[in-house]
Amino acid sequence: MKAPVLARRADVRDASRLLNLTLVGLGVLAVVFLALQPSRPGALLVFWFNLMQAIVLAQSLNLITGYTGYVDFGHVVFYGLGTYVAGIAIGQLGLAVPVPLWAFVGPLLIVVIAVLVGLPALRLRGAYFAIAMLSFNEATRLVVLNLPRDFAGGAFGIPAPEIYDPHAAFYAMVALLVAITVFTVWLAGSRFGVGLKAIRDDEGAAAVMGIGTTPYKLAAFGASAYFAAAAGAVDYWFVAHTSNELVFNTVVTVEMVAGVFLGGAGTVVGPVLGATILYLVRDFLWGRFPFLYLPMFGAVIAVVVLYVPRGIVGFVEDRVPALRAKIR
Amino acid sequence: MSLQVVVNGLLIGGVYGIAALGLGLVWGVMSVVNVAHGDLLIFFAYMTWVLVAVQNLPPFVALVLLLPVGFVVGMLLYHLLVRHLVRRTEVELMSLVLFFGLSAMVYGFSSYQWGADLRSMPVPLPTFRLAELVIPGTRVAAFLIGAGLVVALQWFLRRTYWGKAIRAVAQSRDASRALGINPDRVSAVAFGISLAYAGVAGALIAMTSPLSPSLGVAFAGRSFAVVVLGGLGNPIGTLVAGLVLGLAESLSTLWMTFGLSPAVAFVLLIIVLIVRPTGLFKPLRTR
Repeated sequence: MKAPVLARRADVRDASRLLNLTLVGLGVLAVVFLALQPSRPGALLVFWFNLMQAIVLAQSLNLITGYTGYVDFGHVVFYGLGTYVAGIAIGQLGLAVPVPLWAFVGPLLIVVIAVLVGLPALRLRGAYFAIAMLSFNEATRLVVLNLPRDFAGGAFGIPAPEIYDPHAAFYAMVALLVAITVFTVWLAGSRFGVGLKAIRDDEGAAAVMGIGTTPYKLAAFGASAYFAAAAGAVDYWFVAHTSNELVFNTVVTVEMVAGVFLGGAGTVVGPVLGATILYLVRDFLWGRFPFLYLPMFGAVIAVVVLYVPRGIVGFVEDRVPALRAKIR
Repeated sequence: MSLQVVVNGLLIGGVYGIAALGLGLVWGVMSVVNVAHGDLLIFFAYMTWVLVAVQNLPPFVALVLLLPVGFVVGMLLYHLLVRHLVRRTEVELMSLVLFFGLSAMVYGFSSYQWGADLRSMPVPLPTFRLAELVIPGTRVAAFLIGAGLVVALQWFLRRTYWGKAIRAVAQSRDASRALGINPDRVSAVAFGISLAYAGVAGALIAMTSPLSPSLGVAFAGRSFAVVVLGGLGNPIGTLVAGLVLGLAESLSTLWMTFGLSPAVAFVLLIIVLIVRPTGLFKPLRTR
C-alpha cells in the first residue's frame, strides 16, 4: 500500500524541483533581459520601469496583506512618502547625499514612520486596520499638500531636474525588484514567514504558540513599507518630479490590491504574475479606453474575490496538485 | 464668530450622521464592510445633480426619487455580490476587498462621467440671519431631513416586524432561520435600506456642497469614523457621532487650514479605535 504513495511523493518532489528550477531560470533571464534594456537604443524604458515598479509595489503589499493577513487600503502612503523623502532631501533641501544612497537609505525613515503608525494600527484587526490605513493615507496626503510650499512643494510638487538620470534609476529598480523577490523567497521558507502565516490564520492561536505577534507584525509592516517607499524614491529618481495628486492616489493601492489578489495572496509568484498581467492590460487600455481602466481593475478585484478567492496560483494548485508544493 | 462655527458644525454633522447610517446598518447586520459607501454617496449626489441641474426637477423631488432608486440599487448589489459572501467564513475581510473593487468601479465611472470640474446646483431656500449668525436654509433643511430619517430608522428597527427581523439576523443568522425568518431576504432589505439612505444622503450632500469624485474618499473616512464612534447600526448613536464629527471638523478650522478638515475624521477614528473600539453607543448586534 505504501509504495505508490511514496512514488507519488517522489514524483511531486521531482515536479516541484523542476518547477523551482524553471522559475529561477525564468527569473534570471528576466533580470538579464531587463538589465540590458538601458543600453539598447530606442528601448521602451518607461514601459519596463513601470512594470517593475508595479511588481515591487504589489509584492510589498503582499508582505503585510498576503503573508500576515492585514489588508492595507492605504499602502500607497508609503510609496508617496518615499518620493517625498527623496524629493524634500534632494530637490528642496539640496542635501549633498549621493542619490543612489538616498534612494535606498532614505526609505528607512519611512520604516520608522511605519513602525510608529503600526504600533497603534496593527492592534486593530480586519476591517478596522484597512479603514484606518485608508484614512491615514488621505490624512497624510492632505497634510503634505498643506505643508509650506518651499518645503514640500504644495500642489505643484518638487521638481529636481539636476538628478534626472533615468538609466541609473532603471538599474536601481532592477536591483529593488531582485531584492524584494529574494526577500520574499527567503521569507516564504523562513521561521519568520511561518510565524506571519500563523498570525494570518489565527492570531490568538499564534500568540498562544509563543509567537511574539507584535514584533512579527511590525517587522512585516516595516519591510512592506520599506520596499514601497524605496519604489517611490527610485521613481523620484527616474522622473525627477513628485506630485501630491499622483503619489498618494488610492488608484495605486487599487492596482496593488488587484495584482496581489489576482495572482494569489501569500505566495511569491502570485503578485508577480498578477501585477504583470494587470500592467499589460492597463497598458493596452490606457491608450485606447482610458475611462475603462479603473472600473476594469475594480471588476478584476470583485470577480477574483467572488470566484477565485485564492487567485491564479491557488486556482492552478487546486487543479494540478503536483505543483502545490513549490509554486508559492 | 465661534458660535457660528458651532452652528455650522452641527448642521453639517446631521448630514454626516445620515451619510454614515447605511454603512453601519449592513456592517452591523451581516458583517459586510462596504468600503464603496463613500463613492456610492458621491455617485448618488451626482445623480441628484443630474436630476436638478440637467433635468430641472426641484431638489426635494430629486431627493424623494433617490430613496427608491437607492433601495433598488442596494437589493441588486446584495443579490449580485453580497449573497455569495455572507455564507463564507471571513465575510468581513472578503467583503472588504470585494467592495474595494466596487469602490474603484464607482469612482472610475463618476470621474469619467462628471469628473472634469466641480458641480453644484441652486437650491431655492432663503438664508436666515439671527443676530450675527448666518444660517443657510439648505443646511437647516438637510439637517432636519437627516435627523428625521435617523429617527424613522430607529422606529423601524424597534417597532416593525421587518425591523425586528433585521435585528434578529444581526444577532444570529442561524437562530433567526430557526424562527422562520429568511435571513437572505432580510439581509437584502437591510442592504436596500442602507443604499436608500445613501441615496438621500447623496442628495443632501449635493445640496450642501460642490461635488467632485474625490469627495468619495473623504466621505468614506468620515462615515467610518462616525459608524465606529456611534456603534455599528445604532441610528441615534450614529446621528450623535455625526454631530460630534461635524463639530470637531468645524472647530478645527479655527486653528488649521480648511483643506485639512477631512483629516479630522482620521484622527477621531484612530482615537476611538484605540480608546474605545466598541464605540460610545451599543451596536445593533448586542440588543
